[in-house]
Amino acid sequence: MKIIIAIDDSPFSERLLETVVRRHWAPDTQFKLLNVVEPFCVDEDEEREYNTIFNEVFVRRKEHAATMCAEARKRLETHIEQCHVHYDIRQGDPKQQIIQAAIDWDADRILIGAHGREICPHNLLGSVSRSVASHAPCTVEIVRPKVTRREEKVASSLCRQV
Amino acid sequence: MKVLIAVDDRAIASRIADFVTRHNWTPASDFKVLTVVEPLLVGSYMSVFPAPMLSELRQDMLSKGKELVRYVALALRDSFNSTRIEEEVLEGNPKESIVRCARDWGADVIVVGSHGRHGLERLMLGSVSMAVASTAPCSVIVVRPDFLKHAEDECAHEQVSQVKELVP
Repeated sequence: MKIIIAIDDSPFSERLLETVVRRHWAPDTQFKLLNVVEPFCVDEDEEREYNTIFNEVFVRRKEHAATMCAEARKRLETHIEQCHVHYDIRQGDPKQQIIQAAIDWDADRILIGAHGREICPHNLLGSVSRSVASHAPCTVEIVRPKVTRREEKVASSLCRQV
Repeated sequence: MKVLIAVDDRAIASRIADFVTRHNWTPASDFKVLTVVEPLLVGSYMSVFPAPMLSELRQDMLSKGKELVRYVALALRDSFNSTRIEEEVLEGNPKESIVRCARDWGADVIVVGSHGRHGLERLMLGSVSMAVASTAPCSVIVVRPDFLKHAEDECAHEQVSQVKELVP
């Protein structure tokens, strides 16, 4: 079984990993931690001062992604028995890159966080998750912690106030 | 763990059943197989049909739903040897009913098929799956049938060639 876990640096990814760790997995499940770093729109024609700064930021974000994935990998390896974890950091559009990664690796499943919960209870799916669920070549699981009635009431009343 | 399995189509239901039986669930999981029968929306033409005919049609749809749910539940019972498999047929709007059922029952995860049944939705994520994925109070697994992958390619190819014919 080949499973892609799409993560970023949001709290939703933290919850996603928490859920993955608590689940039961068949022995010899292969996990690919996938992080997509979006490049800035850099003006390539002109030599501008901000181009170098943008590049610097981009490089640092990639380094940050690597440390984040390494931590997540350690976490999976300690909590899940007999699993193989590796990570992949891609650059480009997250929607396209996640789907491309699934095609390239011939994944059986993509796990992705739902996003959007804190903002409004009626828009509970981020655009990346939505796009991946629509276009992926394999089964997609949108991972979301179970919501209790009380939490839901609080969320909807907050939304009304906004 | 409470797993809600929403099915609507025989072909896709068997694929979903296949996925659920192969998945490694937590021991002692509860399953509920659900199908939602949409009410007949004949609107202003309602009076054209005799009432007994409509109620007969409704009964027919409900019994078809029951059959489908039983079929999936049987497949699950075969491989899980568990009695904790409930069957349910609801009437109403599928998008709302699935989410409401998940909430009332306290489901941890909802399993739905990926494909719509009408028009272009056959090629894309169905509107019901999308709505459930957006509004569910828990995780959602969108199962993509393997056989559709092939059909999709063929269909896409066919459509491209049709478009090519239209464009001189």
